[in-house]
Amino acid sequence: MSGPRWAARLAAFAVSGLWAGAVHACAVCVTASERNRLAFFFTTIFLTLLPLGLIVAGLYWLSRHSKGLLAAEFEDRDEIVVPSPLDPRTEKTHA
Amino acid sequence: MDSGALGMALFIFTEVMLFAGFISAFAIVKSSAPLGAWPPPDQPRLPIERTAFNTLLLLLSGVAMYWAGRKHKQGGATAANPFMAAALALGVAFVGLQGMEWRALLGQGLTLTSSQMGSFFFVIIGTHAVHAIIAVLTLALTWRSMNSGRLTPNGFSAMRLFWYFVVLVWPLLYWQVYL
Repeated sequence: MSGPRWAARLAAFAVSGLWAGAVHACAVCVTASERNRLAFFFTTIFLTLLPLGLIVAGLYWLSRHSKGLLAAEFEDRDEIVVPSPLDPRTEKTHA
Repeated sequence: MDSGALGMALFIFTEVMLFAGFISAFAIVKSSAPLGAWPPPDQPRLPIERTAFNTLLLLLSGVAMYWAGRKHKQGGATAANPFMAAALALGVAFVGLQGMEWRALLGQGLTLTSSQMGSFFFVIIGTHAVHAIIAVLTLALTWRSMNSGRLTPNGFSAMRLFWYFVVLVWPLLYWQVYL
């Protein structure tokens, strides 16, 4: 199939998608009412965004929580006193 | 976050999607009915007021569980004990009253096969009822473990998370199915 012909068919197919709203065409609709169309529309948005929202909320919570954990980790490390023979405070440990 | 709570959070994630699917399917079927034809005229009406009272009981049990968690942190099992008992009693009352409501509806002719409304009602509310019964049993076991000093922080936080899920998903179901 030549390039322009293929592009024309693709364009025709894309334009045909615009008719779906006009004729209330839907693969799974049993009625062509506005309420039903809106219900499909909103439930699609709901079911698409809900898992994404849950994942984002979970990651946000984990990132906030892990910051606290890491801070505590470094605090512990800072408290470690390395014994040094030159430091008079640690002299006793070496004696 | 302890491992018990994290595991329960992941489980609840899947449960949220299950109920979201139910609610979406219900909303679409409800919207496909002609105006004034939902609920179906030949089917019994759902007891909105009585279920509102049940909803209040369940929400109060969630509050009691919240306080049980706080008191357990501050004063241990002794401080949390009355709140756990209150949450359990309210949970049992919810399940019992819902069971009585179901019995009445079945007697009036609303069954799983009587209409689309009946199918959705028993599937959606029934799924929640199964969760509520499991939550009540788990709470009873947790309470027993608490009293015998065998309660682990993991188990307690996981149980509380599940209880909050059962409590918080219910008002959404009530709004969608009953109202």
